Amino acid sequence: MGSTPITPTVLLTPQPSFPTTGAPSQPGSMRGMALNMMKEDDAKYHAHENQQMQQQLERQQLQQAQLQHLQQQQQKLASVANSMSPPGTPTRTAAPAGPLSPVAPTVRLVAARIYIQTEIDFKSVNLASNTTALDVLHMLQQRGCFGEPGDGRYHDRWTIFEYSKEFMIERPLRDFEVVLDVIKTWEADKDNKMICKSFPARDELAAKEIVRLVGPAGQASFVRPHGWVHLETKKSKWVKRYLHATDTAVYHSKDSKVTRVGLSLQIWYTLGYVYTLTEFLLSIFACISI
Amino acid sequence: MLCLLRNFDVYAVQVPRKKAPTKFGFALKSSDKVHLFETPEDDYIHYVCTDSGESLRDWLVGLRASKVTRGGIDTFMRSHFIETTL
Repeated sequence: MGSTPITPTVLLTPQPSFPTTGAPSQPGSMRGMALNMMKEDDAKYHAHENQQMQQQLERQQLQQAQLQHLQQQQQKLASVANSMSPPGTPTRTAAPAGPLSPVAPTVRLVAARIYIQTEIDFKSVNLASNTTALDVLHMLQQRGCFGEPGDGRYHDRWTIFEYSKEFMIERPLRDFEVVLDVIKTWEADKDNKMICKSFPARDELAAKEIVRLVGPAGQASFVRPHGWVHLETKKSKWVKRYLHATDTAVYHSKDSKVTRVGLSLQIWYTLGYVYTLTEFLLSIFACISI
Repeated sequence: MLCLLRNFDVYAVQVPRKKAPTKFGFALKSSDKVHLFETPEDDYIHYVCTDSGESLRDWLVGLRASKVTRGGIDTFMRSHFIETTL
């Protein structure tokens, strides 16, 4: 993997128009009407795409103009330095940019492979330290990796999966996950990949959906998963365990009774009754001691 | 305790494990490096099977949501101009 310094304005533009975030399609009464609606949607989508491309071109032109300006300044500085230096001293060909440089500070980008549908075809994308999975989907969409309207590849269920060949497991990245942070967790000698493919339950990965699930009050009102499962304690040895998640960890126990006590304590704790009870007991002890 | 949610991610299992009681499996794998574990064969990855596809889905969605911190979502929504009010 290589790294290329580039100004952040090229890739870090927010693009909230990914079709997956749109409303679900309404069932049409007539086939013709539905087709017309689809065509209109496509036209709107293309108009927006063209607009985005124009904006990007404008930004690139502006960036080139800034670079030319900087080069001119550097040449002037070099000529001034040459005229001031005594004869025989080596000339400086590239002066470092000063603090008042017109070019924005550079962001280090890391090139990463995103496989499309299979483990063979891939596209390289430049990832900044804050590029999210949704940003990568936008990049790939702009490059036409998800097909054109009319063919089978053109749908709004594309999702990036983290895939581990060693364990044969995969997980879809949520829209807000930083892709580079995930890649950093990989072992260097293991076969891990980012694969982009269709995910029917893609809506669950959107930040808005997770906020809706967790609830506006935050994690306190969210009922976490719990129940009986089979757990592999040693290789090929499975036992039945009661599994439950708290806000920080996943616990397992042989009996659900212990867990229920723990859960009920947690609920009382959340509601503030534990504090009340402690204060009550302390006040009794204080009265007795007096 | 099985694992911390902070450094474990929830994965779907592509190929059922050997002698798995059901085909509805998921895994909890650490995002930390494997050499940080004294016994990685016991602690690095945990395999779990549920009794039905529905409960598997509930576990996957529920654990993913449990992992999310409110601050992380707010930052993302601010950067992508999405309304946080529901």
